[in-house]
Parts: sequence; structure tokens; C-alpha cells
Amino acid sequence: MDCLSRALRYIRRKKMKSALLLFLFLTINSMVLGTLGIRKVSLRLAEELRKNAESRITLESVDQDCPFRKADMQAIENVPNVNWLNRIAEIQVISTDCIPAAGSEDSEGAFIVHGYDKLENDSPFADKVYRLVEGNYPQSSKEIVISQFLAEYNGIQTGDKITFETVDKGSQEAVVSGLFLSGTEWSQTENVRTVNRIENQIYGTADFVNRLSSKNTFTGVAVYVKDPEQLMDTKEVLEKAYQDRAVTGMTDRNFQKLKMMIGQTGRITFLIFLLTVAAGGLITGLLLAMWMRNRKTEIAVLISLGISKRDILSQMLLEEMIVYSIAFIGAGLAAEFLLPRIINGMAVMQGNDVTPELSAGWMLLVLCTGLAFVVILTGIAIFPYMKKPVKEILSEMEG
Amino acid sequence: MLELKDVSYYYRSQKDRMILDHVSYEFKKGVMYAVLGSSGSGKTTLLSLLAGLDVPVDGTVCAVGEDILKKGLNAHRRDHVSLVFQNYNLIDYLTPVENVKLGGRADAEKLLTQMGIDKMQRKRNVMQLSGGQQQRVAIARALASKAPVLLADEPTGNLDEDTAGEIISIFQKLAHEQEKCVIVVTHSRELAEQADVVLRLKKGKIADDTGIVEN
Repeated sequence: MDCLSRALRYIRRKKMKSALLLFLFLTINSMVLGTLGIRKVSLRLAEELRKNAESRITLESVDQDCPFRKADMQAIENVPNVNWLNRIAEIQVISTDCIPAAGSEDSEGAFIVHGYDKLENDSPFADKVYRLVEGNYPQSSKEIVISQFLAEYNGIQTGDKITFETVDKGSQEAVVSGLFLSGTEWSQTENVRTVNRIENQIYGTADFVNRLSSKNTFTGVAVYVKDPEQLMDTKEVLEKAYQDRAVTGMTDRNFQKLKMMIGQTGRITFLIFLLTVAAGGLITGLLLAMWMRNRKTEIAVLISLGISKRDILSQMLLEEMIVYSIAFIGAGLAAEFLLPRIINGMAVMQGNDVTPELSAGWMLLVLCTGLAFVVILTGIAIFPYMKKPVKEILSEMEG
Repeated sequence: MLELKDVSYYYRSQKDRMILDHVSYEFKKGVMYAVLGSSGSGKTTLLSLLAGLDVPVDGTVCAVGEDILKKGLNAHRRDHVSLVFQNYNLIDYLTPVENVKLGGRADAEKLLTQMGIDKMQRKRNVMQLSGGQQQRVAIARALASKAPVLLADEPTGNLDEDTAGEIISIFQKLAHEQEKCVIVVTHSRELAEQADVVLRLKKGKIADDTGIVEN
């Protein structure tokens, strides 16, 4: 009877031991795969967060006569770690076919047009001070969004055109792509100047503002970085370059907050992983040592029957490895079905489209490492009885 | 068949106390031997040396004229000797048939039938068999190897008188009908009386050899 046949019979007939070992291995493997899965997801989230953190440095021109120019924008773009720029421009203009909502004084039909390369990122829309109630944000330099009150006041609908007078007495048309509301329009007092009233704020792109001003200048710029970890370094470079011309600010709160939470999740899961491996290894080792002690007679008898020690060792190793492999498959299935639920239940990761998955490579690594552990623990447990002279074991046994 | 040549044995921690002191003896086939001796006289040590479970400090143990160390102890245990223990030592997760198959490739069913183990008993867990039945299974396992020497350590020690008698009878048949060399270590005078040769171990020597008894 070969070692595999004996191993299979042992597993089948020593039901309690096999079930206990299976349960132990299943628990350990489930926890190991689970924690590794969560850790992997948290690492991926951290990486995604790094890419999409939208950490930025803001530069605001301090002197209206010395705004940022196109060359400045190019220079800023070339600074290391800079990802992209949201250029900001502003101009006070008059419309030839749109009357502003009346304020404290007559400002001859003047509006303030604010320009952003990406309106939804750094304008009051980003902070939800204003919200779009109809249409879309400007997609091109010929589109603008205006107040819903202004639209109603002038009978304008989305898709209609508004003509503005440029600085050099020319004209520029823009299509109304959306309408916005603030919700605080009613709280404005009569003292607010007409041009400053919320209703008379118009939002477009920075390029549209430049067309109105016939210049390539910007009042500010939001500098988005590639790696939020190096935000301070980038800020220092920009401060040094524009210390006389601009006030610098930094927005990094979301990244730091999420980074801390994800880091904490990663550390906790790693701690659970370490504890699982340590406790699992210890319990398995103790159980195996206890069981092997009870099997020393069997070992001695098999040796006395002429069965080699290598064959006996192979049998014992096969028993544990078979049970471990079955448990691993069970744990793999559990991790596949339960892990997504656990991760989706974690508040820190809500809102992120993360599909936890353990690649075949990871699974194989865990399987091989686990099997190696089992081999080592079984080897340690069986070693004293393999080394002990058979005669002594039999003498003890026979009294 | 199996020969001790000037064999000495002592425990390394007690070098001044010889368990076996230059013992020489040749065991022949077709003979049932009983080895008697008080506790600690070296009976089990003698059996272990003959079984290749231990090696002498001095001298050699030869099987079919060859030093068992040269052939290899595993091979000696597999090919030359088979063991029967007082506590039967059956593997508890195997059936009687599977236990017998551990001993060798002989027809396990046939051997168990010869030992009086019926079909129902063969399928049961060995631990559910009576002491006598377990010892029969153990003997069947020893016979499965077809080894020419059967070594038994107190084989009737845990059995009642009737069952012990049956087991002794089996040993006699194995020696006389199957030409096996049966060596039984025992305290039992009843068993010794049934042996062809009685050896007494005393102070590390085989003290008394009564010679082959004609039945």
C-alpha cells in the first residue's frame, strides 16, 4: 500500500481530525486571502487616489497690471510634477443684447465674465456655491453659462446666443450652454452693485475671456500635480519663481484625509494578516505536534514492517497537503464571493469603483507558501519520532 | 537462517552494564524458539537486533549468511523478518485487510481466512475486533511479507488462556508446516513449553539451550 493510499484512508477515516484541520486551514486561508485582497485593493486605491487626488497649487496675480501671460503658463507647465493647468481669467464687459439684473447703480449693462479652462474644477461650481440647473458646462470657448434669473429676465434659453462688446470695440458671440442658480440670490441687498450681483456673473472658458479682452492674460492659475506627495516641493518651486507677482495657495486636504484612512486600512489588514499567519502557524504546529505524538507507534510499526522513513514522511506530508489544498480551494471561493461584499461594506472605499480580485499569481503564491509552511510544520512535528530509535518507541509502547 | 555472531550490546549511558555480552547463536528454519528471561535481561533488545530495529555495538547479525547492515536494515525488515507485538499494533485507520496488505503483497483475504477472521470482521475497523482477533490480524500481517523469520514479542501477554493457546498453536503450525523460523520472546511458561527450543537470557548471555525437542 503506497503512501498516497494510506494518506487518503487516514483523511477519510480520521474524520474529526481531518475536519478540525480542514476548518483551521479554511479559516487561516480565508483570512489570509481576505486580508491580502483588502490590502491589494487599498494599495490600488492609494495609487488611484494619487493619480486623481486633484491636489493643486493656486497662483493668484497680485497686480492687475502684471497678470500671467502665455509664456508664464508654458513655464509653469514645464515645472516638474505639474500635470495640467486650469487657467483663470476675468473681464468686465458689456452685452449688446442682454440687460443685467438691476443693482444699486446703473453700470451700463456691464457683466463680469469669469473664465476657467475647466469650470467645474476651481470656480464656485467646484465648491457647490453655484449649481447648474439646466444644460452643461461650457465645452468650447464659444459657450457660457448664465444665471437662471438673468435668462428669465432677458427671455434667454439654453442654446440662445448673447453678444458681447470686446475691449477693442469689436463683438463676440457666445452660446448659452447652461443655466445656474446659487440659492442666495434673494439674500443680496439693494446695496450690491449691479456688476457684482450673482445674476450678472457669467462663466465661460479662459480662452473666451481672452477673446473678449483681445489679450492672452490670466488672473490666476490652478496648478494640478501628478504626485500629491511632492506637492510641497512643487509649491516651493512656484513660490520661488512667482514670489513677487502672485499669492500661492495649496489644496491637498482630500488627499491627506483619504490617504490617512487608506493607510490605516492597509496597516490594520496587514496586522490582521500577520496575526493570522502567526496564530494559525502556532495552532497548526501545536495540533500537528500533539497528533504526531499519538502516531509515534504507527510510525514505529510501519518502520518495523520495512516501510522506509521517507515513505512514512511522504504519507504524513500528503495528508496535511491534501487537507490544506482542499481548504485553500474553499477559502479561494469564499474570498471570491465574500471579499467584494466586505470591501464594499468598508466606508473608506465607498464611492470608488473597486473590484477586489486576487490574481492567479497571488493565489498561487499563497498556496505555495501555505504548502511550504505545512511541510515545515509537519516536518518539525514528525522529526523527533523519525529520529528516535524504533526499538525505544516499541519498548515504551510495550511497557 | 538468522545468526548472531559475537553480538554485544549496551546502552551508551551505561557502558558498564552489558545487555548482551558476546552472544553467538544460529536460529534455524522450521523451529519455534522461546526466549525467556527476567525483566531487563535483554529479551526485547535481542528481538530488536534480530529485527534490524537496532544495531549491535559489537558483532554482526546475519540473515541467510549476509550481514544485515550490508543488505540494509529496511530491506532486512521487509524481506527477512516479520514482527508480532504484545499490543498487536494494528494501524487503527485501516481495515484488517488493509493492515495485512501493509505487510506485503500476499493474498490478504486468504491469510485472514486462515487466521479465522471472517468476511464481516474483515470489513470492520480493527479496533472493534477482540484482542484475540486483533492478534490474528497482526499474525496475518506478519505472514503477508512471506519473510522466513517470525519474531514475536509477548504475543499472548494480553490474551486469555484459550485464545493464547490458539495463537501458540498457530505459531507451531507456522514453524512445522510452513518451515518458518519462529522466535517468541515471552514470560509465559505455557508458551515456552510448547516451543521447540527454549533460550534463557541471563546476565547478557544465552544461558540455557535445551536443544531441539522432539514432539
